[in-house]
Amino acid sequence: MPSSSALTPSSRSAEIEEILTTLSRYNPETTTVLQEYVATQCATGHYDLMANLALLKLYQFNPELMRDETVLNILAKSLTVFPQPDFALALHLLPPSLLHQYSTASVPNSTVPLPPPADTDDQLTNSVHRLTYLNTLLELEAFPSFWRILSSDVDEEYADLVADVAGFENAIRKGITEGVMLSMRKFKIETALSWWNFSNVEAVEQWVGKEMPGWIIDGDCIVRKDEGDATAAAANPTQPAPGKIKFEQFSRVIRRVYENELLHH
Amino acid sequence: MRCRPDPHGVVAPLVNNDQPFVTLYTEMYYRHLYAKLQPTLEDRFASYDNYCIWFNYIFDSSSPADMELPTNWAWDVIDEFIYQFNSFALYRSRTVRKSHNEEEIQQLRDHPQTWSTYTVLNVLYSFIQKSRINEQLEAIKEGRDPDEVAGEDGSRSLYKTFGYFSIIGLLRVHTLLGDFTLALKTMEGIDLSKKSKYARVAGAQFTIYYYVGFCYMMMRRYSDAIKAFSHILLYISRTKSFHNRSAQYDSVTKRSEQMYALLALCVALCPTRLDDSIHTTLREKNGEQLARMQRGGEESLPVFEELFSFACPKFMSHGPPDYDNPANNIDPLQHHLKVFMMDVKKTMLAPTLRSYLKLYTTMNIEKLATFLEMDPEELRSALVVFKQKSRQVRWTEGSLLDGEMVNISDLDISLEGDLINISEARIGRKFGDWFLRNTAKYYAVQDTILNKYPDKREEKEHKDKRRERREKNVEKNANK
Repeated sequence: MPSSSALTPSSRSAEIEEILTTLSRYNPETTTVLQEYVATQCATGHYDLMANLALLKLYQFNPELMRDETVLNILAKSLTVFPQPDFALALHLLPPSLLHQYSTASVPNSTVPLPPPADTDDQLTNSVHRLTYLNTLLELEAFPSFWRILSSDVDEEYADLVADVAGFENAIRKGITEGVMLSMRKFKIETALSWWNFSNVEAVEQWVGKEMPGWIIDGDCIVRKDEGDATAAAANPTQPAPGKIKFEQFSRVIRRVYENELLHH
Repeated sequence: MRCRPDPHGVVAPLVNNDQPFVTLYTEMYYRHLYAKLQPTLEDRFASYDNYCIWFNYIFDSSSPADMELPTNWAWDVIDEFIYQFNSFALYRSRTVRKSHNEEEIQQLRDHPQTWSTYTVLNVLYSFIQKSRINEQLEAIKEGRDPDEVAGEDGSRSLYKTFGYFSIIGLLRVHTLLGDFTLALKTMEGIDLSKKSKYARVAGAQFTIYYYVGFCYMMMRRYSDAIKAFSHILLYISRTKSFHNRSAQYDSVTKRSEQMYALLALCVALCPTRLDDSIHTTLREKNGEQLARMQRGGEESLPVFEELFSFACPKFMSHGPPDYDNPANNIDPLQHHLKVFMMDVKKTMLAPTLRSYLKLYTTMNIEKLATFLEMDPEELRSALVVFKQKSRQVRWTEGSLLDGEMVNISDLDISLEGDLINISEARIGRKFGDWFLRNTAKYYAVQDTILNKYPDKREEKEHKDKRRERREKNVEKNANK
């Protein structure tokens, strides 16, 4: 969430903070530092949106400094925080030519998008297309398709693109889990296996124990423990406050009555 | 329409070449030219040079310390500076893409520094730093005296004003370049909920809310965007009679139409109950488009594209275009539109889902999938998307980028295996407001019938006549 803590993650060093809050963010020499920082984020699992966007901005100003690998790493990292809009925010800062030929057409009668068409002759363009496709699958919560594409033997490019990001798969699983915990109270293990891409029930049990506090395995489902009556707790709709009217709003009415009184006497 | 008198040939000798006067006059001369005529490349270079002279003059420490400029004027200078920067970038890319005017292209190639993004950012940041405006705003926020941190330059009203407006300028430039997060971050110091003396400059207000709202929309914070647009549109409709007569009338009208279009986009993406009068105007202006977007499906996509293209800022690219391969220069609008549409596409199903879900309190996924003619597993995913879309970061306090995750939908769902539980929070109509507003209307009608304020009406008629006469005179003069 872009709350203040996410905008200034604790993993950010004083040096990076200095770059981001001063005009050094426009100094091409800081590119190296920010590039290394992206590599660190990939290795450690930390994530710093503002720093990554600042680097993409430097690339815009100095296209000759742009490193394809770093751009792709930033995009791959921002996949791990879906469904936040970070991936899109990064795309906005990329050269328009990279997305120009990307088609957003979807499979007929379905929301699932078609995979990017034939490769262009530019390697970076192809990679950006692939990551964008992964992002679309994630945002549509089309997880089985997402994992299938990622582990495809036909096109190993996909797996290569996220290989630099340590713990990529678990980060994605965490994102999926958040969505599940938000919108469900009972989740079939069968679905969980395909959404989380686990091969056996033990892995699901472990995951629930570790990542879903308050949830337990019950038969063939994962259920939220602290739920009493199911239908009543379907959600807790916030009841709207009854139409409150401030006394001042009556000022005109009162003045009117007063004036009419004067008129009649 | 003719040019105003030439600044250097005609006006300068009249004022004994008084530098500040000539520079300011030149600025207005070009402003008029950009607004009413077609500036040539030469004009664009010349107006840029004049800005350089003017900014150097202000930044020069030996310039007179008592120099002042009315607040409105200072805003106009910054506003026009960025407008011309934007306009130059568009002119340049158009020239390279479409025209075969080799001479102009060569001239553009020879002057990469003129109107460069770096230069423009440099001017804006310099004003901010020299005036220490961010430090001053911070002090005001904490209830201290801003003059304590302002320093010698910052306490001068000229710098303070330019510093403040430069922040708004940065908001705009960053948005034009597609950096929506940085744009909002730049506004950190400005507290929109508090009135400042700069708030009186209407143009600055329109600019702030248009760009802030737009950035929120691009960050998918639709409820914040809706709040920003509604706020300023209400303000515009309340002060309409005032703008009617102002020189900026056309640009205000255009801006507010753009904001209604953006508001329609946001409401389609995030169903929200609007203020009644805003809602009425929105239905008048974009009613049909809104209805089409709210129906969802593939057919709604062109409407989203059309409204976005009409209402978005004039996006520009950072650097000079690729002169050698004109085909590589892709319109940045197409790029931003594409990224935006990717997000829109995945909500296409939402209106249909909503309409079905509203009818039930519980429902089986299989059954709903049959209605929608889609795969049950795909539907399960779509429901999670739907639920996640109903939660958004919304600003509560602090800087514009801060916010809390809140539920913004009246329709809530929860999945229990294959069972969908649905609950709807019915938002009670605010009857009190409605009755009060109509009571006031009724009073007005009563007054008209009783002819209660004849004086007022005469006064109005008199004023109208005067205005008509004045307008006729203006026309006559123009015809001469």
